[in-house]
Amino acid sequence: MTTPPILEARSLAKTFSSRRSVADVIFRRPTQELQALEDVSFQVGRGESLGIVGESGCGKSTLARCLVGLYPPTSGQTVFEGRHFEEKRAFSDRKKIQIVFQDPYSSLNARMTIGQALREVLRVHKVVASDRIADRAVELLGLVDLEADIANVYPRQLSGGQRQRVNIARALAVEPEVLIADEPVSALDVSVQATVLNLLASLRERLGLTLLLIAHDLSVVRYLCDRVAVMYMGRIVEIAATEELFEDPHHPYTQALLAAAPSLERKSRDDSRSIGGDPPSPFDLPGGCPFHPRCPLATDHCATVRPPLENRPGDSAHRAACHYAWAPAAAHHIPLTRGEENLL
Amino acid sequence: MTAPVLQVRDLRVRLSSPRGVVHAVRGVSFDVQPGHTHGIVGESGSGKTTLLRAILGLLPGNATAGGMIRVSGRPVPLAGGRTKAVDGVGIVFQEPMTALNPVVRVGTQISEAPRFRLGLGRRAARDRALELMRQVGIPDPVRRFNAYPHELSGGLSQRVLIAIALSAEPTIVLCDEPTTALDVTVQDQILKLFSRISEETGVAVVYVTHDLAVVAQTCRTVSVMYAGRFLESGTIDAVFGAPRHPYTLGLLGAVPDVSRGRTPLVAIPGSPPDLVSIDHGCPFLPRCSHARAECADGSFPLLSLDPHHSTACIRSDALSDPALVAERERS
Repeated sequence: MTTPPILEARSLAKTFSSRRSVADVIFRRPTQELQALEDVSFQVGRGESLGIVGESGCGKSTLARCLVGLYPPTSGQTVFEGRHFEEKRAFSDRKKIQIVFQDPYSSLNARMTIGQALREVLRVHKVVASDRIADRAVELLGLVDLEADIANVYPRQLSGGQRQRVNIARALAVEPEVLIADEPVSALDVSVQATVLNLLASLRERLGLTLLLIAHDLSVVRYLCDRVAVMYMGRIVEIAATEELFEDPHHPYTQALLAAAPSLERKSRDDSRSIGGDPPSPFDLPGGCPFHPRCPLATDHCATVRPPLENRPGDSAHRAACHYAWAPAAAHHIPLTRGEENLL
Repeated sequence: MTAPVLQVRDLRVRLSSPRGVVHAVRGVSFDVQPGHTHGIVGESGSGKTTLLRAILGLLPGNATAGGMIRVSGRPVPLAGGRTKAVDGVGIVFQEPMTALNPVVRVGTQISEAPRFRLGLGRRAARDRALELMRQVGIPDPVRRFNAYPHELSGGLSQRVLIAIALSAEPTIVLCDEPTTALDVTVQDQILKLFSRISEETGVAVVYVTHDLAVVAQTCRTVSVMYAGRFLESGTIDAVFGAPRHPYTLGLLGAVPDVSRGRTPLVAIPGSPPDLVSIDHGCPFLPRCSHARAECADGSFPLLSLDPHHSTACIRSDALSDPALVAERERS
């Protein structure tokens, strides 16, 4: 990347503590800690779209919330245009990064018309002069291909796809530089998903937006993103340009994820890459590489030493957190001896 | 040809609601042969869940139904408000966590049907439950037998539900979006489990989902459901490879696929019709780019194109027009 990044995550970490009951205090049980994010670092260039994929509980939504400033990170920083945000984000800084949430049904106030919801944002953030607010709200609806009269209706009168477009309009009202979309289409019907995906693609082009797309669906990310980061148990395990990641994945988890994704076009399945087991409990992460209990290539080394995110030799754009990602294939020595349970 | 385990003939279900009568299923007919896996794809509100409830014999109290359903030759009662599912049908629901009783041990829930439906004794039912747990790939079944649902992960709970669905020796298992709530890698394991079970036990499966790729991977035949009707039906290769209904064609062009790069997606304009105020005529008409005047009137049943493929579109010839197919392949 030649231009300086617009957004950078520097070793972001977030730990949640479980709620302690009275009994926990009386019996002096230790607080359980859940490490939702661990040492997450990446950069996004201006106008770029970065996809973040992973299974539920991998920390992708926590990451989105840390970047927008809804959660303060436990450690690490969000750096925007070379400047890192204060712990309590300054009012003017909050406009820079906006988010669209997954569920279009619960993220709009049911008692406000669409116009009221949009005008409120414009007024509070003083985006335009007060006599321009109503006009601007209508312009915003036009931006997301909605009719002007939508401004007078309540959210319940809209379909899921329309509501998600209203959410996008609301996020764009403050003219952000970075838009984070957290599973923007997973609550929508298949026939309307395409309208929202295409809208995001065209907005990016028209407004020069930087887009962070968070999804569990690999096909959505492949469709919209320039680069993709794969997360597992709070860490980025692989990051690369989209086509490279899909065509030449190097982390065994990425390979398993791609092998497991159902496809209409691929008839034969690569079963050698599929994995068994469930993701581990985030309260009780395995030592070493967190993926080793499910990994078909794991060795004893993986069970003890946590692999860092390493560049592909001679290529800093493709990084993977696996001891053997960049080793020649023959280097996969003695497989780890495991109980039958993990194989199922 | 052997007798089908499931026969559905001209099934119609209406649900009364405060807004008016919802025409949830409007004349659906299909057969499922023993050991086959049939997929039904449709968006939310297309009537697929009501169709499954009718096959189970568990239509809600506000339903009135017409037509006929037979499971292994025996008619399924279509009265609304029944509380006992018909024999020979098992079902796997979408949300494994909410479908299990949270205060009853998993093993007890699996052995319930063998005890009370098959009349096994307590010990025999327990043995049957352990056998089923082994069959669906639950590791360490003896320990898990005494676990409560909250102690299990989503994937394991779904395996327990599958064990319950198989527990009363069904000839057909209905699956209502069984993997939608699961992660991709776990979904993959469950889909493989379904193929293994239907191979080993010869049980037929009806698989309902909105995910075209999942159907393509698990089923032999598929029906595309829209506004309470089947619009296209046939083998996977026929329906997804050479679709002859504009809705199927639209769906295939509207979903991104992992194995495909950035081919542009073409959204289907508009949204599905409201099933309260549905007219005669083709239900897809308002969203269809191939529509003609004659599409506005008529009943549009499935017309057979060949033994493996049928469509409800009267303009299906236009869709297989060589010029149009070539243009599609170019894009």
